[in-house]
Amino acid sequence: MLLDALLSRRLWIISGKGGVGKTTLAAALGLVASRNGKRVLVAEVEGKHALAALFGEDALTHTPVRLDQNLYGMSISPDKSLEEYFQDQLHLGRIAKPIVSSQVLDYVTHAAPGLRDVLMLGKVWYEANRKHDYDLIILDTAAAGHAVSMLRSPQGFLHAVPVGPLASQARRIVEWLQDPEKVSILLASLPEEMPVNETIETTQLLEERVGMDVAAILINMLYPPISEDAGVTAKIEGFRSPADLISETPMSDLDAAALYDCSRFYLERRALQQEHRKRLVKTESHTAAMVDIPYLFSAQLGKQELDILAAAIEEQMT
Amino acid sequence: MSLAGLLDSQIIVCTGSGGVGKTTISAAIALRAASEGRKTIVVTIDPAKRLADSLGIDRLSNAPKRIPASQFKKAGLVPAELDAMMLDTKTTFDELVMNNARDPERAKRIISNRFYQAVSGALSGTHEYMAMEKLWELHSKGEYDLIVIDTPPTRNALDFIDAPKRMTSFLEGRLLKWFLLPAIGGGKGMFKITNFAAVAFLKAIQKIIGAQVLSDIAEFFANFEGMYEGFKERAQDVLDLLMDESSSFIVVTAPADHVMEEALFFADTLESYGLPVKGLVVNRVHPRFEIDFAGDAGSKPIEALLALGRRFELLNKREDMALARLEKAIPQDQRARIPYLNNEVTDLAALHEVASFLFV
Repeated sequence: MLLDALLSRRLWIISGKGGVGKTTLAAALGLVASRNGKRVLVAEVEGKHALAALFGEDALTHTPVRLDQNLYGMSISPDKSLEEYFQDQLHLGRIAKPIVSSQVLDYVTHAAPGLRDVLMLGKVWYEANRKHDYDLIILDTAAAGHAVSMLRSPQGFLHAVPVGPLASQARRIVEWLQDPEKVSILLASLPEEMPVNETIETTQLLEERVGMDVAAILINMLYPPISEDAGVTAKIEGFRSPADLISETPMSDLDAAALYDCSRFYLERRALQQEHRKRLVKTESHTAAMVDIPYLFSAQLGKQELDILAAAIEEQMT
Repeated sequence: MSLAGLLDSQIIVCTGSGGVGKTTISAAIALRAASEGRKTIVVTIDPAKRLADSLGIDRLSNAPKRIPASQFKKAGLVPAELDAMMLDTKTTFDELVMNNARDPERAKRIISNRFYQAVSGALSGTHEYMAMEKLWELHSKGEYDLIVIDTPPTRNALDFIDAPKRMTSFLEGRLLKWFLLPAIGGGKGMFKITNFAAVAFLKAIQKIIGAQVLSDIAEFFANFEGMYEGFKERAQDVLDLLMDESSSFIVVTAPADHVMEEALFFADTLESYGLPVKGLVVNRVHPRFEIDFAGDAGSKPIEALLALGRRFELLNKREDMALARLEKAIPQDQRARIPYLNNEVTDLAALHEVASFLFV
């Protein structure tokens, strides 16, 4: 079963285009894992505030905070990661801080291609392989294009700097990322033209350039059928004008028109979504599991809504 | 609600966070301006090639391309002078180096330098910086009445504005040179410097990234010598241009709480910097269905439809909360709302429809 397999990993990488709801899904996935007995750390890379806000917390920092039972959150800082690397792995102790805070380091971290990304991945690797404070880390990456270059960064770094302690570190990270027993990639997408294109493109790039397979694709914000009763849905789909509604139940012309418009809007949107979903399923379902995430028609997005998403994910993964 | 005043600008900069539809809005504004007889270009930086799709063009190069008249006719529009281009950061940077280096040999050495390649390709801020350089180039040539520029998604509005400044001070590399040049310039080997702090420092850094990278950096700065002044001057010129009344900034957002929050903060920051924010566009607002039915549903399909109506009411409520914040903060003639369109914006006809909501 997909969930059991995923729960045995040490790292889930969540990627997807901007605006597809990556952070919300990373949070929901965190709940799924923590409720299945794992101690989970959700790590953001971009200093976004969205994750913390979903749990009613202040913006996250480099130091993990508790978000829920067995669920923790942090925002990875490349500078702090480097400082820790100096201290904990190179044992440079006191001189670490002035080096990190100096402007010179800015040049240096930018000089070696992808060093900042290597540092962030290095931090994740360190948490998962050396500190063991968490059973599972969920990495909420930046936009998809950037995620590919982030995951490629250790290889790029090795090309530029083949020897030295950071090179051995990069080599360990590359091996780890490419071990499907340890690391899984989950892509977030939307049933729309551009996000679907981007998901297909990202899957290919990950396979070809990073050597990683996508374990699951989460198709977010899908309109469910109007009714759980297929007969009722079919009947509604058959309505051709507001008059058809009035012959069903007497009501004012205005109400009939409004209800009819509402159903048309929904059905059209849903049809369009299904078309894009189909395209994604056709291209990807032979390798990745497809998980449908329902659109949430609610007055706000908070813990309660995350619970609904987590339940939907868990149901489809087991 | 209409942004009609916007069309008198000479430069329009579209900003906002990722996934809100900035590229579409930029293209829609450009289409409207062109249709009103202004020779217009829209520049996008989005690597997803979305603009290319929505303009019905297969591929854009790093140079302006005219939207073919046939595309206009297909959409039932009168052909207009509208160009589009996709900004290629790396190519733009290379061209800049070639045009500004003291001699071609030096330009070649810079472009083949590994440090330069890392900086020009991946350095955060490079996209923004090159967008500004391209803007300056297009403006200086004076071929267009209006330049509409789409920006990369940034968390911080000033990333875009500050990019030239950060890049030029980076390129100036004063601090770095203080450390590196004595070491390399003297030809006495890497660590024959009298400054002991610098020696310890360099050793630590070398331990991490290797001597090769350090010498790449030194070589880069040696070749870049003398080019820096021009870069700095242009950066200031672009900034002056953007602060001019003939420029306009618009912020694109979505009707969701945190995205709206970000957009308002964005707008505030731009304004506090003296940049003319002339519009806030909320994209993809869900329709409102005024359903007042209070009787007995009477049948299962009607019951399901009423439930659907209630779901949309919740959604409207969520969006209203975000929109209320906007209405409080931004005057009416500076905001626009674009409804959730059930057809996708992939051609000029759809862009035309989007524009009709911006310029009522």
